[in-house]
Amino acid sequence: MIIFRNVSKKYRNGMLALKNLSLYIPEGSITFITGHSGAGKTTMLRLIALNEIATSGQVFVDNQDLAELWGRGVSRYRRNVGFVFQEHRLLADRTVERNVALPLVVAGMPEHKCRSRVRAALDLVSLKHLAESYPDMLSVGEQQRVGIARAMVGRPDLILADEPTGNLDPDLADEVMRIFFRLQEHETTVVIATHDYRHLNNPAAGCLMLDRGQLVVDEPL
Amino acid sequence: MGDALARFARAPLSSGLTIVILGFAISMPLLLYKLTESMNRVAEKYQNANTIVLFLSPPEDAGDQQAGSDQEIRNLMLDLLVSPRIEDVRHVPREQAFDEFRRESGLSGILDRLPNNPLPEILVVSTVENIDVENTKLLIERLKRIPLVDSVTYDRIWRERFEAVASLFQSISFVIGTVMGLGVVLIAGNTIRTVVLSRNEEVQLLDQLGATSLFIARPFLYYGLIIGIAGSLVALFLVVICLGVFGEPVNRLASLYGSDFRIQPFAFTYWARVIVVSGVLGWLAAGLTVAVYIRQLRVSASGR
Repeated sequence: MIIFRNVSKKYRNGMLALKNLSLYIPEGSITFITGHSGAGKTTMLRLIALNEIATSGQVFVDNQDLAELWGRGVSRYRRNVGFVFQEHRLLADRTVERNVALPLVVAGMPEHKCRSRVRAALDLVSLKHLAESYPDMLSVGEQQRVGIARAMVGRPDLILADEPTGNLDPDLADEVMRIFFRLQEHETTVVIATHDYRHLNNPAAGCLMLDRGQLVVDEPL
Repeated sequence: MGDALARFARAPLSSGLTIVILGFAISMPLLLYKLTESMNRVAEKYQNANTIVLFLSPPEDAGDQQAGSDQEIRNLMLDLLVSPRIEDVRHVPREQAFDEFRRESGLSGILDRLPNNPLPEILVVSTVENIDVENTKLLIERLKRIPLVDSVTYDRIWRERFEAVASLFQSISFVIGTVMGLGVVLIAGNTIRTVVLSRNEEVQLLDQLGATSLFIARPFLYYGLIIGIAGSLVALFLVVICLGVFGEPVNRLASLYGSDFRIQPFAFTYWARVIVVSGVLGWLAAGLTVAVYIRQLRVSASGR
């Protein structure tokens, strides 16, 4: 469950990215955040990911006020959040398997024990056969799916995805979205920032539309 | 550790150069320390040499008679022993001194041709252990005023000079050691910063995935430890070479001047200490560098 209560975010350069934003995202749902470039989608995700803190207002995730987290608390919180980036951010010198295992290693699980979890995650994105490959040997779509496997391998309660289909052709984008909907079966809350309008009409997902930092459409699930 | 070694293997030239520079930085204070330590050993050897030598008036001044009769010398010795500053007085008769000189100088042929013994009676005065410099000087002044005493020599003066030089070297060694220690931290820190920047993407990703600062820093800490230890091994190698090249000529020179000064090789425990300290400095440099970097990363990202 994510709650924004009168949240504003002003950057050092004076740009007001979010204006007095209040919203609610239910637990276990898939929610699209959409809007034009500069609408505040990424800022909103960064606030939830604790990459930013709100200039005013409060952000709650599972009843935890994120502004109260600090130091190791931030690290602990982030271990329970999966991230899917538009540009994948896979480490080129590690195999697919080791890339996907990273969240588990960070959480303190010995690398040899991660194997079955990693294989299961790769199986979910249909990339088990590429476990020993390196990222630069994969197509863009495959790299994105590896990024999704990495985000879900730690079985987080929340997955955040920032334009996960931004670099993909329509077929690949549909495939990636199908994977996200499959995650719903695991009762994971998924928040996806996108301006790919083709997916917004899915009745299984909620939709929030931002315009210049303000909520203009709130269609809950 | 494997990751740290991999980082090392990825940039062998820059890592190697850093290690060599560290080696030079560490070797300089080591050499100075070695010199100071050797000088201190010589000074320690003469730590108890608180002796004042009194040369009684030579035979020429007293005509053909021996300067002062045995009775006068005995009386003088008794007077001296009364002083609270004097521990002991030993009489070296001029005949005994002449025999010793003839035996040790190798000039027996010449000395035998002398019409009479030119050496004076000698009293060797040992001062008490805890006497300070001022009291020693006062005592020497008083001894000089005794009519029977022709001249006074004091072993401690040269020892004090020697100790002062050794102390100066020790201070220089300490200052250079401190500066070089700081230099080691800066050199290692700068190299590690380059390595961190080259792994910027990985560091940011790990931070995003919830890695603690320690988790992120760990491979860099190992890397710092490795270059610190490797730098110390290079330094010890340089020191061994320097001692090999300069040690023997210095020792020979000292011998020619009748000095006991000898440059000693390093003890194994000292080697171990240098390796450990250098490793810790490298580790410290890595810790500081990565901590600052992560802090900057988080502050700039969050705007906190």
